[in-house]
Amino acid sequence: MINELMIIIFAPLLAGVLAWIFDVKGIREGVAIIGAAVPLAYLIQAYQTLASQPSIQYSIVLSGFKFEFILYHLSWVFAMIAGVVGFAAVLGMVSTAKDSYEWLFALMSLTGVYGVFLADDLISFFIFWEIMTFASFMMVLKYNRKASLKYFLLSVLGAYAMLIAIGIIYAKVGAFDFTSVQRVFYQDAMRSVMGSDTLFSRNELLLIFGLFLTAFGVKAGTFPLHVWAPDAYSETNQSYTAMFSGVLSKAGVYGMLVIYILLGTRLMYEFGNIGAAPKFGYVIAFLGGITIIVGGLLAALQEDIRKLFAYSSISQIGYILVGIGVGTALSIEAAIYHAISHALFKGLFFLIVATIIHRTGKTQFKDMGGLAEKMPVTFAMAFVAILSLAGIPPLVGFASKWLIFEAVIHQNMPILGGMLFFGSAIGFVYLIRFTYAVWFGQRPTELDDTKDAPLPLAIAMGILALLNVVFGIAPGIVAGELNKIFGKEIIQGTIWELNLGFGRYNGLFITIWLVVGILIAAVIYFLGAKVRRVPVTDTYQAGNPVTMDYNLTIRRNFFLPLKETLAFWLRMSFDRLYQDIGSWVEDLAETLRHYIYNGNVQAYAWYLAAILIILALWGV
Amino acid sequence: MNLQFASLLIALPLISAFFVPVIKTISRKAVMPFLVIITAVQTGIAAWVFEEVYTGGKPIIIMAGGFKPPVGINLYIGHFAALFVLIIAVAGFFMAVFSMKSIGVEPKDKYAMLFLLLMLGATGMISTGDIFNLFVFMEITAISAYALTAYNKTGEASEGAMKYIVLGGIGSSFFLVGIALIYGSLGTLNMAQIAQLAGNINPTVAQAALALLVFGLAVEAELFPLNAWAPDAYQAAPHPVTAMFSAFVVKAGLYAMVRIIYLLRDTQAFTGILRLVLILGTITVVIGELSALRQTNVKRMFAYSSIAQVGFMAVGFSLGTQAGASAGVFHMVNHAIVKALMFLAVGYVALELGGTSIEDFKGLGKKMPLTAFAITVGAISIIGIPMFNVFWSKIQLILAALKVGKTGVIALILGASLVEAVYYIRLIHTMWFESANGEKVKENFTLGVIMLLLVALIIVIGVFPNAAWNIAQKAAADLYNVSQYIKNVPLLPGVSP
Amino acid sequence: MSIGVYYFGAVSLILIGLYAVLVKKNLLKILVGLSIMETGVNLLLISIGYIAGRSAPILSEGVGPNNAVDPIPQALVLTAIVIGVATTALALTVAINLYETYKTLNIEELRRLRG
Repeated sequence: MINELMIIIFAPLLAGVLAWIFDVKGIREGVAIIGAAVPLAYLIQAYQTLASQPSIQYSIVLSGFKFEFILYHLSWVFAMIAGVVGFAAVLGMVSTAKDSYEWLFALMSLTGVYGVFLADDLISFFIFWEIMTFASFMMVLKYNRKASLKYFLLSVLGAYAMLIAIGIIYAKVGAFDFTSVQRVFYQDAMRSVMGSDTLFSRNELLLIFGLFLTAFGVKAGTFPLHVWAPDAYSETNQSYTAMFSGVLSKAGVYGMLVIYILLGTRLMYEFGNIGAAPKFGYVIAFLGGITIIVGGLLAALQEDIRKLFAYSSISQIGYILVGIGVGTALSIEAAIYHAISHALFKGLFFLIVATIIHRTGKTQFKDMGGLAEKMPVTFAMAFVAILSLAGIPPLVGFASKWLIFEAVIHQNMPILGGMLFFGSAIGFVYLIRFTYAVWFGQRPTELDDTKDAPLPLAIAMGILALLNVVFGIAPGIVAGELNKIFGKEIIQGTIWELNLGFGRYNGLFITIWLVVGILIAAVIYFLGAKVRRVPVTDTYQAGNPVTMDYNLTIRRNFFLPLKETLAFWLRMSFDRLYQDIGSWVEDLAETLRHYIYNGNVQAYAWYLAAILIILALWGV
Repeated sequence: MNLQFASLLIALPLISAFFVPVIKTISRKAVMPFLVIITAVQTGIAAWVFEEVYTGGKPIIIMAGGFKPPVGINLYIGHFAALFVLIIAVAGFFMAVFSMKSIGVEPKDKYAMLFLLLMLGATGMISTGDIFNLFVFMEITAISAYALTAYNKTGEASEGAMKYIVLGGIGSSFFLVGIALIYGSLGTLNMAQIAQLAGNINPTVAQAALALLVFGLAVEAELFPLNAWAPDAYQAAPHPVTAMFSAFVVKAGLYAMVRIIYLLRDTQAFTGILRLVLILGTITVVIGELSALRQTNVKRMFAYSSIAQVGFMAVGFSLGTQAGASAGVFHMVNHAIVKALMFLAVGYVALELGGTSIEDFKGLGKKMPLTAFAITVGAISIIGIPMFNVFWSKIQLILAALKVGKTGVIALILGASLVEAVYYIRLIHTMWFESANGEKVKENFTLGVIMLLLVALIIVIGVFPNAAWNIAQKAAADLYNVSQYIKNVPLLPGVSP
Repeated sequence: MSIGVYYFGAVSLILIGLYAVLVKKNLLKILVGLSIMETGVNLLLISIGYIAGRSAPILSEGVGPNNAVDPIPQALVLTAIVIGVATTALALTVAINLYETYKTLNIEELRRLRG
């Protein structure tokens, strides 16, 4: 019998290949949906199995390598993220995918990400990591060469970094499976405590840690390796980006957790703690903090709706990294919680963007406006997503951000706390722009015929929006699953309430008050003011004509003053730095090539003579 | 069957080459089919030899005229030679088929002769057990390569050939000086006996001889800066010939170099020369990759890429461990497959669309989907994406370098892969996503089958690397394990210089 | 005459040939230089097999294995000469072709392929 883990991993790929071969509209969509639904169904079924046994394992020997897979609570949570958001993204793609090429690679990347989450040895982990990277790269390549190249280069860097780390580990441990590697590092930690010789020296340990950090940092979009993300996220099918940003970036996050699982004990003993938080985690946490700020500020300055969310996505991943970096059980749970909510609301956001682009064909803020009337369903979804991202109760975004705040503050880390608060503030800054510029205000006449979301997209958005609300009102559902990962009640409370001992949050309670508040407001609204309908042009710009010279409308350069204030910092762009290095290398190569291979055979003969002379000097 | 029949590997191309004029007098049209048939037969023999060597586990020693070495000249078809003779034969067969379509310039009979002589020379270089014999085969290879480079008779072809002749001439002269030194101090030319006596050579002479031998062979093996002829010759040569250059001619040179270095392991110069090769190999990779970066001529880009890959092999061999040698051999095999495919595809594109400039590749995915697919697979493989064959050899190279603590090699491979990614991704994007006008070309069925075969090979090795890795390891052991090599050759007792 | 003279001559010939290849601008002179180098190498090979006072290794009256010089280098040189002739002939053919195409033999002008 074929193992259920294999079905979970390979069903999307199989569906993708089938969709690619039977390139018939209608059939390929159906196949793809089945391919995305099957793993989800199996995962839901596996939940019951996991209630009675700690894990489901499977291993297969291929060409001398033993590939091992495991499904336990941690990987189940991440796989569920992939399952739900992946399914929604596939639904969205039914509306937006143009050809079978996209189906093949979108589903292939889903297979890759399942493989990464379920892998229990370094080789499977790496191979599926590469499948995921390759497939997502192909999705970008179709749309934009430059963006894909940047993505690819950084991915290759990450891939080789990981590979070398794996190589170093394998050379000493002699095994690839997580259990053995973890055991060896644990024993090493014990040895270092006893003061005896360790298998991996301090420097080697540092090297492995750095290499893994690079590899996973690239995928997660950590500063300063984030430069590929804004371009790659925006230059592909936006329904796919829901998966790309929502799920694939979580592979990077998961990778960070793998560092903890494999090396955690040893790193902690080798480099010590600050309070309850490990020192090495500080690196991750502060990188995360910088990522929040950089991503958030840049998001506010974008004129392209896709770019805004791409940067916003980077910023939100920063939260997760902060949570992981702090390294207490609570903060890691909070980080995973935020990984879930980020996947839910960012997946939703990108589906909304996909809908807007699908219906209007526009991507710039300046071309939009007043879409709320024309696309009420999408607007409702956007409303949920905005509230969730901004961290407003009772949505899931609040619950997870609140947990991260609590975890950080509880460890007395004021700087990180400040970074988190700054990130939330800047989140409002860019969201207000999205809210107003797209949905309200004056509508360009060419958008008058815009229709609402097509059905598949609407369903996909509905699924994600519903989960945003449910997990917000009943945060205990998620917390319960997270507690199972650690096997103890880190976050106490009921299904409605999170109780940390030093702080509590009751989703249901707030929801009730919110509803009551809205009702009161509605009563006041209907009883009180006299309603007069006004055309949008009256409110927009207060009747003044729009000038082009210093135009700070919400649709154009709205945050120009911010941009000017930050001008000094914006000059220090890592993106530009990498590009400069790249073009410098290319110019150098060009010169070198023309100089060395100058076409003159006599010059070539001189090279031979030079080598002869070197040989002679060397000691003939 | 008598194992001495393996000498047919040398004899068949040689005799057939001289039969070509006879065939020509019968019918001009029969020349190219004759070439295809001979290469097919050669492939059959090579496959049989491969099978015999790998199942028997023993090398086949062929003694010319029945004289035992060191009196007679012997051929040594061990694991390495058996593998590479097969690669030469298969690549030769594919390219012979390709030649039927791509060679339009007369005199085709001369082309067929030279083609067979090139195969003969490379086969001989790889299987000979005598160092002067090696020189002769090297010269046969080189002269037929010069002539084939000039075959198109255009100005560029002549220029490329002339550069090759001048540099190759210098190289071979100094190689011969190296042989003279070895013979002068040891009094023998048999490679097994040289290895046996290597410890006795005067260190200075040994160092000079080794340096000169390596110098001479490095010209053929395209190590920087002795490779300046290579891009020009690759670009100007007829397309099937370029594929053969990359697939086996350069590798025969590299093999000979490595074989001689390992044979003289007992000399003091050994570690020094390994370091030299490591440095040269590293520079070769760097310069090769950088030169490929902004090429607008795709054939030339592949030529530079090919040079860089040879640099990797040299680095692998120069690690001086069996693991390094295995990685080098594995990379040789993988690279031969990939580059045969890519030069075949590029040549085919040039044939159909009139040139190899990057402009001609715009929209290739629409015009010639199969060929574009083949190039794409090859490019992805060379970059080192998992599940494609070159990935595994790069990994083995990294592991081998880690074992001896040379972490710089890792950085080299990483950097080279990044650069490869840049130019190959540009090419892939140009082929698939840039539109250009032009009709869809009806792709040749036979060439399509060959390309798909090679693509399948790339992927099969990529997914199941173990079988190929085992073969490469055995071949490398044959190359690396010199004491076993000496034992295998039945030297006449009592005959000493 | 001492054997050293031959070695000296051989090395001189090689260096003269190399000099021609490296310095002369005319393609034909470069090819002549290559030939000179080959001659030098051949002389070197012969000298290595030379044993003072012995005659050529041709089996004839009064010449046996004990009073002839080492025959192997002589055989090698014969082969090397043949190879050298082949290379030179081919090179000259190519040179003719180059001259007919570009109307020059100046090596600095024969550089269409570069970069």
